[in-house]
Amino acid sequence: MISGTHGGGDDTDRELVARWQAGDSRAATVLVDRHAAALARFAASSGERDEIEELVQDTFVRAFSSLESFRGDSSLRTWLFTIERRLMLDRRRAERRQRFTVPIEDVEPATAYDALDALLAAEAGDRVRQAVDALSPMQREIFMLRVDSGLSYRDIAEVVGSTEGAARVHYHNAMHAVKEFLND
Amino acid sequence: MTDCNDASLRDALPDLIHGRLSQLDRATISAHIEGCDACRAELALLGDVRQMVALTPAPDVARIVAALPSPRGVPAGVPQVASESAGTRPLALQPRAIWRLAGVAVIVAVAGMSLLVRGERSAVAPIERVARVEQVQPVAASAGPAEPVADAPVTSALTLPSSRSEAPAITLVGPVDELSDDNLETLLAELDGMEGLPAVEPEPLTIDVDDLEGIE
Repeated sequence: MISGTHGGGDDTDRELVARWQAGDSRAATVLVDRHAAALARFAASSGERDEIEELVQDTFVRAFSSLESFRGDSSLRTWLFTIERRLMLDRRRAERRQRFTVPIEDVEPATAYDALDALLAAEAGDRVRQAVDALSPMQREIFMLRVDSGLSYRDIAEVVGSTEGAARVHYHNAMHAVKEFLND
Repeated sequence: MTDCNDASLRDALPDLIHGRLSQLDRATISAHIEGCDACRAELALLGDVRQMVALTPAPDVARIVAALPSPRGVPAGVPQVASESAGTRPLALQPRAIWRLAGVAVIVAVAGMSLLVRGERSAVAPIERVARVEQVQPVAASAGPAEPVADAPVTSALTLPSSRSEAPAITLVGPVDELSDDNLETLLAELDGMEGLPAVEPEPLTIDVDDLEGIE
């Protein structure tokens, strides 16, 4: 998969990138509309709970600031996932550092995502969520990129910085772990 | 929940739900799924996982687009084509608005040209401005024609006889504060020599530039 439309209009991502670089901001709107939801879901399934929209926005800002470096070897969506994953890792590292310096009482106890958590808890699929949450971070990322985003093993390997074979193994191990969790 | 022994078919299940299989592959896998409980169960599980993350709030596309940098080659501050997300429409000038803008541009251009032409005329022939003098105060007949001051600029003070039979008139062109002390004294002396106001309003006097040539 080199480039795709991902169900939004006839223009490919590459064509839209070229249009945006020529000054057409409507192309950016189509691109954001096409990929923002998938990025938000990937962030949520990867354990991000705070300011997911801000994370998605930062991903697009970072991507559009360096579109010249987008080689086009993979799809734009794969590239966006790669950028978002790096941002998530940076954010987690920053949070770990902050944990040692910020008193516990200063941390905001409630987040907007708690409401979603409560809603999810009431849903029948809560067990599935628990099963996915029980996966290791690498397994969870690969599992969600494969199941929800539909990326190929090759693209997944590029996103997580691994190999295609390793991505396949992680996926099947994750699927096995989820089934075992649900069977218990 | 057991696993199907055909790993390649299991691998293709996510592609099946994302519609990324060829028609042949889709038909093959669909036929397999009909007879495979494990694959049917796994396919249902994949649907549950996707349903789980489908509840994630969708980001605000317009807000994200507004935060994006300008494309290369488009300088900052130059308005780009407007976003059409979130119910907004791209900025498009209607034909009537275009005609209005064109009309305004023509008016501005004509006004600018008029000002430019007036400015050029003023700079080329300044003497014409001082050539139009008006009779400000008639001078008493006894005062006689005033002598022009040698060093007085022609644009500041000018004393001319309105005609040979009438009393001479003092005409001041230009601000008083530009006059030298000698000129002021001369002017005051002329004013002291005047006798009251004229009975009738004097007629405006216009002279040609040619009439000024012999003054000096």
